[in-house]
Amino acid sequence: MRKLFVRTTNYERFTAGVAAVENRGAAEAGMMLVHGQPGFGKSEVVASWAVDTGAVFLRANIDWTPRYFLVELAKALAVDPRGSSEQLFNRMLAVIATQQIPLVIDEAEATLKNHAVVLEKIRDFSDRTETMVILVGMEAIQRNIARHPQISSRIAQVVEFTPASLEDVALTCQQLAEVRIAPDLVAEIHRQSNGRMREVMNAIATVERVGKMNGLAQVDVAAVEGMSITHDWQARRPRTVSASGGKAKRGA
Amino acid sequence: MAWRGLDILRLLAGGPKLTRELAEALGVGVEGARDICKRLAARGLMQSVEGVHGITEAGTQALAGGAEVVSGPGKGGCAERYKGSLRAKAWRGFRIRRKAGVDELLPLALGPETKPEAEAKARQNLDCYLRALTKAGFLSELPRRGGPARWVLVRDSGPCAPAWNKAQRTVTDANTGEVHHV
Repeated sequence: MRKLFVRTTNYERFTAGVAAVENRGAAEAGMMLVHGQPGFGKSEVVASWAVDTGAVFLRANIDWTPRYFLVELAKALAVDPRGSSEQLFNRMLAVIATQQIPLVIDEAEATLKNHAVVLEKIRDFSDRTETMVILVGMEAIQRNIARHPQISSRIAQVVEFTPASLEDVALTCQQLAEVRIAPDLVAEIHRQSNGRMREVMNAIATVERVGKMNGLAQVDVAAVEGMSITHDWQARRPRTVSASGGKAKRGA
Repeated sequence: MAWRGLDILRLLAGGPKLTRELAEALGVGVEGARDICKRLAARGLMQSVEGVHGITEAGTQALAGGAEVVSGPGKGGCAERYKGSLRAKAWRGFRIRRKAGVDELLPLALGPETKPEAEAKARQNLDCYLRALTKAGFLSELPRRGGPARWVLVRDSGPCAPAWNKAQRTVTDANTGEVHHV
């Protein structure tokens, strides 16, 4: 399987959100919220964007305090982490403001503990430097941030990651698979994965292996019928490919 | 027009000269001559004192040996040349992931339009880079569990990617200025 970044509709919506924040009217509203269920590719998309732009990417820890956050940020910026919190804050403020380095906080739920003191500190950076801050979290994060109006009013854009569409899955199969995957099997992968990119990737790897082992130029549902290409984690059993299952779903 | 570095060295072999004299002899502008001198000085082939340029021992040897003096980046002279290079992106990806293999870094560094041949070259390039970073003490290889090699970041020296110079067998850390011989 090829190892490339696929620009899905979630990616397109994310970059449109970034552009909207960059062109915002209120300078202090420089925050963006990215949320969605696990497996929809939030972290992958945001990490890829951070690599391209040179943004600082931090994964929030459950035991973060404002001081712990400052030290982590200092390490990421290669700034001397010694001294008082005030000295550290000012030192980093200068670096972020002059270089306009965007900040990404993954697993941002952890910043909401203790009346969101850590998120308040993050907001300080955004307010004072006018650089973009992207918060990444699960579905409930938007509701939890809404309890802190001084923070939620700074969020200029909210991007929700949704399940991959059939077109997204088809594009991913086309760009990553080293064998051709027939449209009926693309539809079956989409149905079984429920639009979760992690599942789609696993399915492509399996389908590709079957195609290569059997010397097939194109793999369709018939070629993998009865085989397991994804795993149902809730039911704790593999999902097998069935031509009728796919057709029934599409017809529904 | 070809780069005139070798011509300037030949002129300087006859004795020290001013920038203006070099420019006249070569038929180029003073700014152009100054730029070439700066590049030659950066390579240690000539030195300039108060606007007077003279050839160095290394320059004389390069001239005597008939070595081709060409323009372009000096080997290992610049630690991180392009922020958008494959290795720079891989380093930034490593700082985000903390643990990764080539397969996990490639999607962060390659766009969807990358051709299979370019992907294969990038894979080879990254594998070589990660092994050099391991020897220099930035990464440590994780125990294999039947899959491809994976590494963990053990020394995160900063946002600039350490530069691996294969010819010189050095890894230069732009964040600290340290040069590691591997």
